[in-house]
Amino acid sequence: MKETYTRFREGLMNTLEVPEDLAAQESLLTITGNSSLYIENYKSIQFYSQNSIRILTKRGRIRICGKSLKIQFYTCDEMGISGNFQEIVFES
Amino acid sequence: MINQIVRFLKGYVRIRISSQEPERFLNLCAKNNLLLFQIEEKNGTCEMDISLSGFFKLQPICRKTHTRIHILRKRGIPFFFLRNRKRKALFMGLALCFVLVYLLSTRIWNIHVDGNYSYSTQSILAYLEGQDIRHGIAKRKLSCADISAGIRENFPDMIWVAARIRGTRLLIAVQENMDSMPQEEDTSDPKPSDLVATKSGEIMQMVTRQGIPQAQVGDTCEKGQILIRGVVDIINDDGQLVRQELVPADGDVYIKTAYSYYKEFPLAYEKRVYTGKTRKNLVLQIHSLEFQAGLPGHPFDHFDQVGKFHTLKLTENFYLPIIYGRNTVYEYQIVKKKYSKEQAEALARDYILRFLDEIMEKGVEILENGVKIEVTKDRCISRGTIYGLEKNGDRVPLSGRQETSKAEKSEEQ
Repeated sequence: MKETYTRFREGLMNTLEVPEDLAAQESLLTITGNSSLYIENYKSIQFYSQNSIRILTKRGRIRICGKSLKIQFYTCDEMGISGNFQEIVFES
Repeated sequence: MINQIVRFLKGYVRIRISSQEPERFLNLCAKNNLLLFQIEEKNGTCEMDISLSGFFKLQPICRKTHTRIHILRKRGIPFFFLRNRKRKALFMGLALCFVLVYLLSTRIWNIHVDGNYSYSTQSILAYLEGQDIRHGIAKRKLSCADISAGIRENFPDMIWVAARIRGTRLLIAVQENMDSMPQEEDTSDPKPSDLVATKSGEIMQMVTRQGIPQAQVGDTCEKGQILIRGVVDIINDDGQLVRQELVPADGDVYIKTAYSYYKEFPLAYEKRVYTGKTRKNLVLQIHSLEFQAGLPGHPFDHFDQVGKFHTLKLTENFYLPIIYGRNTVYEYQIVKKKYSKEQAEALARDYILRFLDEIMEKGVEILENGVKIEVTKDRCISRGTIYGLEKNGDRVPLSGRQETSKAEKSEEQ
């Protein structure tokens, strides 16, 4: 049943040409080099330290590892992270 | 950048939070629309900037998350005023500054004229000055419609004038009538006329387009003589005169005219030789007061004085009565010299060419140049006659004759 609903929903969104990030409620990550990252569509921060940030999204978790990580700004819609990134992991 | 300025204007504080769950504190702030920035983790604590208004909304969140807040820094305009509230002169100065900016913004500080071609900007500004419209006038005293109407009335060639005020600028855009060239004579229906000689001379070329020629090539004409007659006799096959047709005489008559030339100049002349000695001084003139920096006067007998001055201006056309510049005095000595024969001849030839150019500008074609240059012991004399080919003849209307011919016609009838 759930599968049918998901398929119907995806088909509808495709027909209406709704952008994927809105349709699938995916997070949007804009990364510049290894020093700057913008994230949209997330729920909250689960963990924050200088070396790691874990962000909870609607489709799982995103873990950013690196050095001297700083949150440039943080609102409920978007956040900016700067620092020296080493890896970005999508955990489901 | 703009965000930073706005943040500074509104004021913000740097805080350090001590909590078991700093992430929960951050999430709650975000959910309550409190903007956090520059979040940094330091030794197990979290530091961040928060706006002044946001800071006062933190209390319920702190209580909920058992967080303690420590203020590290206060930044921004509200804190600046708070810190300096006892410095009255500063605030008075600031208030005065704003008042001055407001007062100055109610006046016109730049008058810009655009699109003028034959009328100079200065002449338009001088007219406006006559109407008491000058730099510094209050904007409320100006009426753009009156300015446009006044300029249109005063400068008849301007077909379109628009005046508008933009900030503290008065912009005047004008459009001049570029077609107002001197109108050519109306030749569509010319009156019957004769072509009469305006100068005496030998006729070299003659082309008659309309009328009866009264002279021919080779003849010598006198001033006032009819060259082409505007009365055309219509003769029938028997050789009898049927009637006379009155036409505007038309044709090109070129005559040979003589210009006598005489020019004499002495061979001795005085030449200025600059010694290289100069004396400079700076000049500042405010209204009629003049200040000079440098040694007053100079010991030179013969000198040239060159001044370079600039008028101080605030805006494009807003000149202040302050003139600054530099005066330079160059010393020279007079050396008596004499032209050599070749030099004198070259100079004389130069004078002759200049004379020829002058008469050629009047439309004369040079046929023959019979000027001889003669260099005596102390003078150079050039004399002779220059022959030129020039157009002759001017139309003289036949008004008197026309009436008589009409009378003749009526008699015939």
